[in-house]
Amino acid sequence: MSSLAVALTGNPNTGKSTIFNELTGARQKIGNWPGVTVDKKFGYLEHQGRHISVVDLPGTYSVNARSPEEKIVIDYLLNEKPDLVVDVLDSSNLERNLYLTLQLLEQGVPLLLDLNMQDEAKRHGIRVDTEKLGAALGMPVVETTARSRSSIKTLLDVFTSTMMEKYRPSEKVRAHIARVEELRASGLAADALEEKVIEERYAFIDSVVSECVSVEGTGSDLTEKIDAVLANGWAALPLFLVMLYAVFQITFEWIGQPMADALDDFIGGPLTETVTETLESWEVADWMQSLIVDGVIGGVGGVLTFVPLIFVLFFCLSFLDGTGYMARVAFITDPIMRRVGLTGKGVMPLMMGFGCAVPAIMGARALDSEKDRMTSILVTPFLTCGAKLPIMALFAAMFFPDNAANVVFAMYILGVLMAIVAAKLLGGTVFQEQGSTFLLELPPYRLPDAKTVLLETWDKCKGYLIKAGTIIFTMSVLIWFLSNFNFGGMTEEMNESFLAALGTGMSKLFFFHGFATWEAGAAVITGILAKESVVSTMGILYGVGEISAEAEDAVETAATLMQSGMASAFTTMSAVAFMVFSQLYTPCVTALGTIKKETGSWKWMGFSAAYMFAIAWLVSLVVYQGGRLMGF
Amino acid sequence: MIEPFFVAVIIFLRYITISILTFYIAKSYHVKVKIIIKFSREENKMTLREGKSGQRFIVRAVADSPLKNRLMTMGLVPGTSVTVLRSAPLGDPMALRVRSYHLALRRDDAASIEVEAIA
Ligand SMILES: Nc1nc2c(ncn2[C@@H]2O[C@H](COP(=O)(O)OP(=O)(O)OP(=O)(O)O)[C@@H](O)[C@H]2O)c(=O)[nH]1
Ligand SMILES: [Mg+2]
Repeated sequence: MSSLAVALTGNPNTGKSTIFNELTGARQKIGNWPGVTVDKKFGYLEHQGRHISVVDLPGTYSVNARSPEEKIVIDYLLNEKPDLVVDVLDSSNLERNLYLTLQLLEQGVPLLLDLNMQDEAKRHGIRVDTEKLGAALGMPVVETTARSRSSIKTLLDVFTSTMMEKYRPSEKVRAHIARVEELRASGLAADALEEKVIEERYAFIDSVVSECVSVEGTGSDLTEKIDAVLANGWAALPLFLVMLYAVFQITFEWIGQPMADALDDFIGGPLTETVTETLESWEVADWMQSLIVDGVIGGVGGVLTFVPLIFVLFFCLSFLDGTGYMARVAFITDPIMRRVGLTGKGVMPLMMGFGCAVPAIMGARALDSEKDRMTSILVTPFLTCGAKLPIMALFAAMFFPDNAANVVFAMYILGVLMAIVAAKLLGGTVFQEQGSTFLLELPPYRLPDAKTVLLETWDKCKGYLIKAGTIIFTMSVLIWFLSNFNFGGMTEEMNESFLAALGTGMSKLFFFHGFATWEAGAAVITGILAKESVVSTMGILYGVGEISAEAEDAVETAATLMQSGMASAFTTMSAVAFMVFSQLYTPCVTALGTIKKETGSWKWMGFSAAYMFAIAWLVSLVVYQGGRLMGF
Repeated sequence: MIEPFFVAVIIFLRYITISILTFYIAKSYHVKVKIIIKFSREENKMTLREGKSGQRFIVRAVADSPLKNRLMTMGLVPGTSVTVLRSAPLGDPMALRVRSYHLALRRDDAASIEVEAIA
């Protein structure tokens, strides 16, 4: 069977990843803002008896190899020489999109032009004459709407039937290349030369576009109307906060929490009871019963109850991501970000940090300056990732049953504020004298693709479930073992276990924080391995799962929990201090590993681990002591 | 006994308020001075930096700056028309319509784009 290597290239946000996912069934991240994909990604499929390998490349406006993404693209295209290079273009924005096309043609890369987003172009009354465009450039042209199955089918047929060898750049393109060559030979200074070449390219594009594109009655522009409200002057910032607050209400009050409570009741009640009864009827050894009920159900179950929250939160975030609002958030927060020495553009990768710090740290590659990228990498882990969410939700529900959503919201805001403060500090000390810039395309608003949103949300939940089934499961068993054994073998008294010894050591650090218990100390240690473990550790050590068994609803659950060991171990104030500490301290090992990879240095990884621990320690101390002084 | 303490606190607060106000007034004055100098020096040259919402311009030239290449790559070459759409809170950055798409950039960076207003 013959094989075919296809590469997808084009400007940012033109639908490359959407096409890639449709073709290969992969789940590349898709979002309606430029710079979502920052690295190349391979996928494979078969069509008409041919093995087709597809590579999704980062979107770029040009290929001057100035940014890491541009380097990835041009290196791949020139060195790997794929059989078919597909240039994905946004049909409603051909002028700027053709710049990259022309530059690639100058480099001698033959292209299949894919005029994507046909649905939007039609709606705006934009008509592209594909015959003329193909003739003007001398390259094959195909039209697609990436979200539709039939378009993808057509595209596949074009892939297998197009013989790129048959195409040569048109007379017009060759004349353009000759002119550029002439300019290069004219001995102009590098800067002036580059300017002349860019002007030459746009002159060429303007003549092609005036020949091939016609616009009939643009009509009213919805994006303009929405932006007049959402991205205009002062009102924009409060509206952004309202939007975030609504997401929290939906997650922690209206939809997510009721579902989580139901699941919690089930795991703590019927499930625990049934398992216990079954194990007893089978006359399983006591230690085995304890391992299963206290260790596995207590630990893994404690983590599982948060799946509904994760689902609802990520559904909302993924939806927002698809609308194009994120680019506006970057725009309206730039005045603030600039004052702390960052750029509004950093908000987009940063928002990914609410899911998981790992992709967010990698997403920082899309930022323009090294300073912006490094700062963003170092402050991202302050945000509340999906694994910290259960900690916040659990403590808020226990200690603030009437105000849980607001308390969690406050913790999220604290994470954001801390990230901003840290950026300011790092900017003033570590990364001085490097300017930052802000140049960002604002894409049109789009209705998010339902399939994309659901798949993305599902993937997040699946990732969480897999983690619960593997790492958290293993850790729960380990924690159960450590908390039930000491050098003398199995012990009835948890206080004399291995874990108690470890936790006690750690808890010494929190003498002035109000949570100097060995249980909290142990949770802090396990949290560095995976943040979900903080909750599962608490679950095992305090048997949270069993206690909530009789509760009928959220408030009652919390009330019941209040009588558990966990409630008496914390006062309201020390619970807040613990939340603050968990919100801010050392990232998990996976995130640390990513920091090492992205900064290329152990030093920055160590720095990140240490300074976040120090800041968390300090801030939670101030919160606890401050709260006590104020009489809480 | 306690009164002198309160007086001291109030004086202290007033002192702080006045210093902050003075600082900001001085700062804005400084900015104005800079702008005036700029205007008098390059009288008939306007840059995109001064563009207000709703205004339309034709790009005349792009001055040397670290962003020059990127701005031109994004389509801001001499002869291109741009419309200022709106500004973020505090008036900066600004959003433009260029060649059928929307582009946001800071006013400091827009200062390197020399323009001519069109009706
Ligand atoms: N209406 C419409 N929207 C589309 C089409 N193709 C893609 N989109 C949307 O356009 C946005 C960008 O799509 P992506 O696939 O992430 O674009 P990309 O080219 O991979 O972007 P980068 O990774 O940033 O370079 C998403 O919101 C898609 O849902 C299309 O044909 N029609
Ligand atoms: Mg992509």
